[in-house]
Amino acid sequence: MNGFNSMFEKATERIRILSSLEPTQKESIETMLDKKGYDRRDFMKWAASITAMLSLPSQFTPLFADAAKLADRLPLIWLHMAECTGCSEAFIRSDAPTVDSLIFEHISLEYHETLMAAAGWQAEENLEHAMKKYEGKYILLVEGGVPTAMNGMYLTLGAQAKTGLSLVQEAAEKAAAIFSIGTCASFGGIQAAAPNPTGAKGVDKVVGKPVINVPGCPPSAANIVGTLMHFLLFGTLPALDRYSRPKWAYGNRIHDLCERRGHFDAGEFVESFGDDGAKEGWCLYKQGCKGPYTFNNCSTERFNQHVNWPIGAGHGCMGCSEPNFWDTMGPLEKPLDSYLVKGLNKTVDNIGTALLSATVLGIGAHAVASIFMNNNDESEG
Amino acid sequence: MNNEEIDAVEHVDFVYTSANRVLHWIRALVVTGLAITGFYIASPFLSPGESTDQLVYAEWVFWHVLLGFVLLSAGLLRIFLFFFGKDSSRELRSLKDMFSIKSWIIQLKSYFFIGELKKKGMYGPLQFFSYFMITVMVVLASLTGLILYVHIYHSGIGGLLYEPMRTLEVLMGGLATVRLLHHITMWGFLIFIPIHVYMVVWSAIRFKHGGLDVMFTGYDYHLIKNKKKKSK
Repeated sequence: MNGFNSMFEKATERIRILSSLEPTQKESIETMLDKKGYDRRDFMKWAASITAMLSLPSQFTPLFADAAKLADRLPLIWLHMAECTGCSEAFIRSDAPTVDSLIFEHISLEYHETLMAAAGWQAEENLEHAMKKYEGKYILLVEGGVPTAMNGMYLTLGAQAKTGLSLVQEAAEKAAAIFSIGTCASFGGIQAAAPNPTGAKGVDKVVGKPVINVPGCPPSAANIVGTLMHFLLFGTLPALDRYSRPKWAYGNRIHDLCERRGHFDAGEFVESFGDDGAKEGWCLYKQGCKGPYTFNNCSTERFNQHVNWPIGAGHGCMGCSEPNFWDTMGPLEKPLDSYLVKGLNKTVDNIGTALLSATVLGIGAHAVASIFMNNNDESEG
Repeated sequence: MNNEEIDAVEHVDFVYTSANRVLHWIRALVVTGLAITGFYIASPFLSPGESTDQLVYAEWVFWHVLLGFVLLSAGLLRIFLFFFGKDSSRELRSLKDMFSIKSWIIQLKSYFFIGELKKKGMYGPLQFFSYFMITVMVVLASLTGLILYVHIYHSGIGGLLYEPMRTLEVLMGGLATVRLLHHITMWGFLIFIPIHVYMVVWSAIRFKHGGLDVMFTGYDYHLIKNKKKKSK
């Protein structure tokens, strides 16, 4: 059996299993979408776009449509750790509800602190209930880094003041799959920047299970949904890169498919924000664009219903989906990393120039000394 | 005093084989070219400003990559010759000498005009150490360069090395760090070169050896003073 057929079989089998499960919502996804004004044609267009995004052939489109209709069979638990809720916000706040966000809000989101109505003891109970009822079946999505210093005491949640660390470990143990949504959950993010007082770490560092990282600050909605849809349809992890990021989204650098790449190769650079080059849409490399070091699909997928993205808006990429980006990519608007030396920001070039000058001075001093040293030793040499 | 002068004889010492001499000058030229093109790549200072048909930056990258592969090959060959070349026994003796504190003191003192420099092998310990560090720099520059390379040329050797280089990239902490390391190695070369040139000239004058000749002709012409001094 060739690769295509086996994948197709696998997906069909998966859909058969999913449809045999109890739906968690009373209203089917089809009816819900219909009510909200999305007809079948729109829905199929969406399914086709998800298929294309995951680089699968168009024969998979009906399978994705089926899988999306069965999305309410899989319960989700979304935990918030040390974070800003930007990932959730970016996902749910679109100018018009998209098929992605409608499905996301409709499916069995058992626990999501931003979206749920419950609070306090009731919220705690919901979480415990969901973890018990769907043990081994739910998908765990984590947003935010996990503080580990002082036994995780830098982050306590809920009425029982559980530490984030214990909560995420407990939830991960019973999860069918774990997704780290955003850079913080994937790599620790900004709170893991040096000196990292809270010992913040990515989820994969604190749980003993495979974790799929969907980094970004925030990751685009397409990357979150695409990863979820892939799991829904195949029930397995997608092809991952060495940082456990799905290859279909994080296989290329921002730079590789950047709309300004032509100007980069031509040597046309924005010299300062607002100059003629900036108006012409030239390359932002000299303004500190970190696109050449960052793996993500922003240059093709963009943000906010594909309207625009940072580089399109005239500011360089800041490398937010890379590990330790806060430490390795700064300063944001300068091409080369700099360090605080005696309270001043110094780049490697500053330090190198200083060392080279010192070297030349040393050589000069030694040469002058050589002239004045009498040639006593010469008879020996 | 008189005796010593009588004992002094012209001595010709064969130091470097032609392969090593040629490789040395290749490295010298290539590193210079790499530093210039590398500075442009890090902070492009020329711009055509007229048409995107002239791929100025891409051309600089092309030459940088080309020179980089020359450095990589020259470096690999030199490391091979260090262990298996015709003249490697003397170099290997210097390696042993690097762990002798006495030899370190002798060399350091001689640089501050106290006493003579007597090397057991081809190099003094400080000299050997700095050449060793510059070899480490070449290796590091080549490896980081290859990591950066596989992201711009995806077929051929770039495609072949893609996966192993991605592993190295992760070990080094991401592409931004790789790029920074690559940049630092360039400063290593830039600081090494003036010290190296100065020390060669200075030692040739101070200790009356053919220090400059060895890299051109391969021979070190110098006077040898007395019979006690072992001749090699």
